[in-house]
Amino acid sequence: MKALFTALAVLTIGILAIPYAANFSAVEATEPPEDVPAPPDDESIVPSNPSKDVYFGELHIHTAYSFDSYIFGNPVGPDGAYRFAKGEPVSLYGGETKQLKNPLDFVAVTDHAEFLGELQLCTTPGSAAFESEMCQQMRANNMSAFSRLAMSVTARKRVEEVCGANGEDCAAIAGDLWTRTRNNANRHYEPGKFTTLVGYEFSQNTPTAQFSDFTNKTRSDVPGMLHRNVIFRSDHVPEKAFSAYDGNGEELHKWLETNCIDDCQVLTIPHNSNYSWGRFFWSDKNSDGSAWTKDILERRARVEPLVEIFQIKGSSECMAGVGLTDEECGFENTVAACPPGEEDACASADSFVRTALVRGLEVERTLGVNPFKYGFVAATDTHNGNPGGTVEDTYNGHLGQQDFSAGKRMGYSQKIGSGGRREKSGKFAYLMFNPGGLTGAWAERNTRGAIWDALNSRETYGTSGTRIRVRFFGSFDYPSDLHRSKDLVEQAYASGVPMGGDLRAAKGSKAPRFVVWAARDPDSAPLQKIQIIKGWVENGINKSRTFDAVCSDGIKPDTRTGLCADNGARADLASCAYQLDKGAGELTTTWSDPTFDPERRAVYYVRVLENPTCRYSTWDALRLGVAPDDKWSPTVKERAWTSPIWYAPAVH
Amino acid sequence: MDIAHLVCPGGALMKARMPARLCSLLREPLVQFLALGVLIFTVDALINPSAPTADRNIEVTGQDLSRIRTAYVQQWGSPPSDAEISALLDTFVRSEILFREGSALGLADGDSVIRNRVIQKMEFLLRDPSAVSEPTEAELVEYLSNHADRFSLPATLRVEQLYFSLSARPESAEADASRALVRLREGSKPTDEGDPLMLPPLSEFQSEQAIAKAYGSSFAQTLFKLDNNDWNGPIRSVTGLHLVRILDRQTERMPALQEIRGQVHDAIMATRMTAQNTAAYERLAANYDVSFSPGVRDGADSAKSAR
Repeated sequence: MKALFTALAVLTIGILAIPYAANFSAVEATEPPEDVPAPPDDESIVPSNPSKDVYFGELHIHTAYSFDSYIFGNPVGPDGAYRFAKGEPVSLYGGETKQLKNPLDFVAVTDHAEFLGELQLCTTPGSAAFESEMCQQMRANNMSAFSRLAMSVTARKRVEEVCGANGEDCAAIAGDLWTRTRNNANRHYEPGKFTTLVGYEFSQNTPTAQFSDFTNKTRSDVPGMLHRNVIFRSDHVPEKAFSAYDGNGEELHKWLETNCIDDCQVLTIPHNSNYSWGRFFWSDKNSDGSAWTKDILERRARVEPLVEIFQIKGSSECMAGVGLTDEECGFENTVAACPPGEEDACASADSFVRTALVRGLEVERTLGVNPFKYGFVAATDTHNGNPGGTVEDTYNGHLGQQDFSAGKRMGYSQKIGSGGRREKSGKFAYLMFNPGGLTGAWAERNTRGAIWDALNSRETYGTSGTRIRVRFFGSFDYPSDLHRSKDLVEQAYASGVPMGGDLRAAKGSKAPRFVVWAARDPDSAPLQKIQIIKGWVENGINKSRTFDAVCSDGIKPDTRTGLCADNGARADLASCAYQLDKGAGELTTTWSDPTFDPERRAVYYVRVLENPTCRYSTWDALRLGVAPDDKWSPTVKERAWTSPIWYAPAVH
Repeated sequence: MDIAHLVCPGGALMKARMPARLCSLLREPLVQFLALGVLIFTVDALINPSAPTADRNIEVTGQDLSRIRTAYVQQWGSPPSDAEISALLDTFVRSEILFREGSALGLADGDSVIRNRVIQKMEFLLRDPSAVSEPTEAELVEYLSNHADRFSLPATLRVEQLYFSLSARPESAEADASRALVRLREGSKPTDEGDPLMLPPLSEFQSEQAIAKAYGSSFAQTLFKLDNNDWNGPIRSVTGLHLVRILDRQTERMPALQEIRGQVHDAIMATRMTAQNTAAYERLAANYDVSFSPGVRDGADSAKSAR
């Protein structure tokens, strides 16, 4: 009998104690938080550069304050996340201490608003909910707690055993962690050096998402995401973080406009449209199927200037073969293309940003408002509390226990089989994900106001994880060799618009000129080309075309196709060395649209491509001594996507 | 009997002033419960001098290891790595010690749920913010001087440049730059020469690391090795060739305490909290004799030495 008791005790300990000691201190649930003020950041303290500099950062990180991150065993809280972003060494899940080679300039820690109260109650000994089965499961890293919570979001009813009959216990205490979120941001904000933006993630599921046991019965059961990050300009924020329990995306926008006023300013950024089953960008209705109203569209256009075009869970720019033929769209696509007639649990044209950009032109023409007028950012969505950990050869996974080692990511066990090789574990492999991206923001200074203003005016771009620098300007008044002028930037701003801006209406039929410039990341491969992608609507059909504006190695675009031949650069798959004798450190040109029609709306954005480098999965395979998995390309071309420049004709 | 009532402000036994944190701690039912437990235990020990104390020998056997592994596989669906096993064994020992200590205080009755609760309570008790004191002025000064490398500000410089892009003039950049250098050294200002410099111009003070982020580390190193304020170059960056003239330098320096008071304070407090927690656990663990059956620790040890 005693032996049985001991056995049970050890089993329970084995499950319970490991993560508990690790996570518990990260949530710091003791006395109610006092306010930590923000440091001053006015002009006298941090001077401006009117030509602007680019600042690198990201706006999508989960720490142990996020329920799912906690369950995955992540020991890093917001404090650790900020220190990692600043370049300090931090111990991540698995015990490894990691450090960014180059610190980030700005960061927003964006934990899920939905479960702040639940997390607080489940980690405070003595709270009413502490002993509940849900809380015990959470502390035991039990995935069924995760499923139950996710289902409760879809149902918009909080788990009663934790939150009380009407969810009031969780709602009441969520403010504590929300205040701590704000305080953590204030504590780490160093104006001029490191900007922290207060924010959170609003995590709504598609309306029919089912999470029970992850065995979905029909396509519409498979959970899709309608997630948005909410980013504030300062630490003047509403009392609570409006979550998916409180309403849907349209209601979020309305609530924010009503409750974030005076010296509070806010914007929202949707992400993972590739997992939205098309709903984010439907052409004539809201994501829940209800009808558009002018009110809803105009509000969306005011509050939502950006989309997160790339992150760990894949690229949402476009997908090869889904509505277009651009072969560079076959990049980090994680969702299978939809069979004809389907939209759920797959990716249709509606799932992608390029579609939305073009669709927005038509909505603007017919309804007078463009709800899809999106600038771009990119991020990780790491659940390990390590912002900016996007370098392919030091990737640590993003889901704590699930994918922190090469073996786990590739689906290999520790066991060496009879052939002297590692054996497959038969477990789900995480190779479809990637290390994530970064945001570049052109701003006059590194302060909250300036960075947020850059986001709000869309003077931003996303990268697939490297620090490519890129400038993009457009105007009808640029000379054809503006890219050779030593005062290029001053001229470009003075007589044109930067990325994210609007061209004025054409006078006559002369086409606008765009000046582009890009420089390689010193720690990554040389650049292969700068492309300009144009979108427009013709006879009611969405169209897009990719032009190679300028290419490396003296290669010129073909006059007919507008595309360059391949420069032949390769990465060595045995060593992952990349070529330095092909590609350019810097590319620049002034480009004019050969198909410009002054009567037709158009949208233009830049895509910069590097020479090929090893994907992290190839690095993992090398380290494990196994063959790379042939489902994924062994190399990638890292890239950047700038916010678009829009053109609209004069209203007649 | 409410201990807090007696010794905190307003209480009958209030002789000395109690710090507020200690008082709020004393009001915590858990603390009172444990204090009561200690009282009972002490009285019991005095009355029954032969009453059992916590068994201070812990042997971690192959069976324990096997159960830990099984629990892990049940939880995560695949076996733990060597590094994870090492961490699990450490946690197993820690949990066992805390549980025995809690049991000795009379808190457990063998039920596994209660056992876990005891361990959690002990973990909570180990973290005692009130036992960690704020640093004095002298301590701040001392910490700063002992950790100079952590707080020192790196050397910076600012420059004037003329730039020749390897993309704009792949064949002639070297020659064009060298010619321009001659003219610059002669004192002329060839403002019409060179290409647009789109990287940060470095006209404001920048450190070597900051410059390397855009220009590459070889350029940054070369720049910081220059020992004169004349025109130098061409120095190669990731985009092209640069002629540079250093305008101004700042040597590496230690900031004054008032500039970084908050950072030094936070660093000390973080160290103290960790030390307090470690010391509290080790005080308990010191009384225990922990051994591992042969073979139990082998895989785990090789993981530790491999790190």
